Amino acid sequence: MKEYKQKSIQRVTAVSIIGATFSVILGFYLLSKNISHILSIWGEANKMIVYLYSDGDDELRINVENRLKSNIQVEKIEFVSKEQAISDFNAQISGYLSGLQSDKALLQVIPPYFEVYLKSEGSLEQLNTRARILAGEIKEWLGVEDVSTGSLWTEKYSKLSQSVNTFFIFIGLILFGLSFFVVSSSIKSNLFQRAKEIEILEMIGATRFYIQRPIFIESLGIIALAFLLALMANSLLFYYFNSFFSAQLSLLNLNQVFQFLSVLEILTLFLISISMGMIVTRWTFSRLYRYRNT
Amino acid sequence: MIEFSHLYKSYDKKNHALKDINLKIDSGEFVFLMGPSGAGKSTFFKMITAYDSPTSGKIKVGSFDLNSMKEKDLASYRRRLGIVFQDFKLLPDRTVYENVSLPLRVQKHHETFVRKRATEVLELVGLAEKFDQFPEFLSGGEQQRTAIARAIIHQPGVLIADEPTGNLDPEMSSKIIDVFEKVCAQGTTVVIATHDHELVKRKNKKTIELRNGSVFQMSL
Repeated sequence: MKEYKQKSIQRVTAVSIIGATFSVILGFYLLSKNISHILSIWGEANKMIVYLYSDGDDELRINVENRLKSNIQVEKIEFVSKEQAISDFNAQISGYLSGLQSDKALLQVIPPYFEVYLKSEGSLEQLNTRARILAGEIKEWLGVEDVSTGSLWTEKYSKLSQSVNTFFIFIGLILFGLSFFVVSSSIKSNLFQRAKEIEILEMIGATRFYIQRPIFIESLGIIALAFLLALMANSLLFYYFNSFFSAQLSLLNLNQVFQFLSVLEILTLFLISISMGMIVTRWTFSRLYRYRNT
Repeated sequence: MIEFSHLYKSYDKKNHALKDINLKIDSGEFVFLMGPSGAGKSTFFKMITAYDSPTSGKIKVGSFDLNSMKEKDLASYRRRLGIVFQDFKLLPDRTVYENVSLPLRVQKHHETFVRKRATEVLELVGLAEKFDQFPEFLSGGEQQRTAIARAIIHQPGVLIADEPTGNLDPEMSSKIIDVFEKVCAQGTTVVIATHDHELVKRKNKKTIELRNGSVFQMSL
């Protein structure tokens, strides 16, 4: 009975330790996934400004507009006329430098322009490269004075996103290694405490399959249970943070952006955990036999 | 039949746990293995159970040549053995019934048969009323009898017992030896390690005496 209780305590301890480790890993994965997702959504606002000559005629403008519309990389365009551009400029600048509004010569320089929204397919780097190439082409068109891709901002943004992803991958690998160590230690402790039982079963003629099967099942059960607990803990945390952002930071609409793990991701992570459990248990058995033979 | 031929076992270069053992125990024989502590009795049993392998020499048990036995045949060989360990080796988290029935479970016998046989052998060793007890609630003698019941439940070809009467009173010792004799009468080869000279004299069976790892004397 005492032994039975000890075994139960061991199992609960193993589930708790492995569950806590999986919780941290799942939580980290969820965090990295959502941060990457948010970065990619914010990065989607990838637009360029095509400035036309101030004195250009309608025919040139229509020509540029048609060429932009027919470009497969362009999602949509919006034309801002000279008058509208001046009006916008005045609205933005009035609070700071009211004198400029009366400088007719300066206002005359403000050109009409197209806001060109690009299709957000591929990574931010690909998007940037395509935007740069397209901007170079458009600059050569008749009636176009200049093109601004905002590339400095997007490049910095893209680098930030890249750095964040690299950081997450790095920390993820460390956590994965750590979880391997934790799972290995828990399974090893569980198995080595059963060394006597294994020896008795061997001496009465149990095959290795007979001995190992229940221990494998138990180890995988522990890992599956730990994974489910970690998943539940993360679901609760996700629900809590979603509600928090919904209530406290509704302006950012973050609750609409946040994503939980998909079924495929859950299945993949579950299979990885189970595979890890199988490898670790097999490896621990080899160690146990090796240890006994020395 | 158990046959040792020029068998040596050493754990270091200087000392031999067993030295040039040559002996033959026929099928269905009842043998007492005697000798002081450190004489090599446990190593002798380790050789028979294939728990350890000899440094040199040959050992054969029935049709099994233990020198060349492969890992996959080990389980099949051990199923023909019944072993009573000096420290009983009972599983503490299983009941008396579960411990005793282990050899039959390992051989995947039907539950009805397992229960019937377990009841029979527990009655034979006088533990029928301890069926559902856990080992920690049993006395030393009861634990020993549980180990004996486990060793005979599957009617093994060879029964080896290391000091099986060490924790028993004379009356129970005698009963247990009677059980071993019954098992032997059914064709099982029985080898018992004991210090009990009185018992050996009384039973008048074949005796092998080990001293310093060698066979000191063998008597019929």
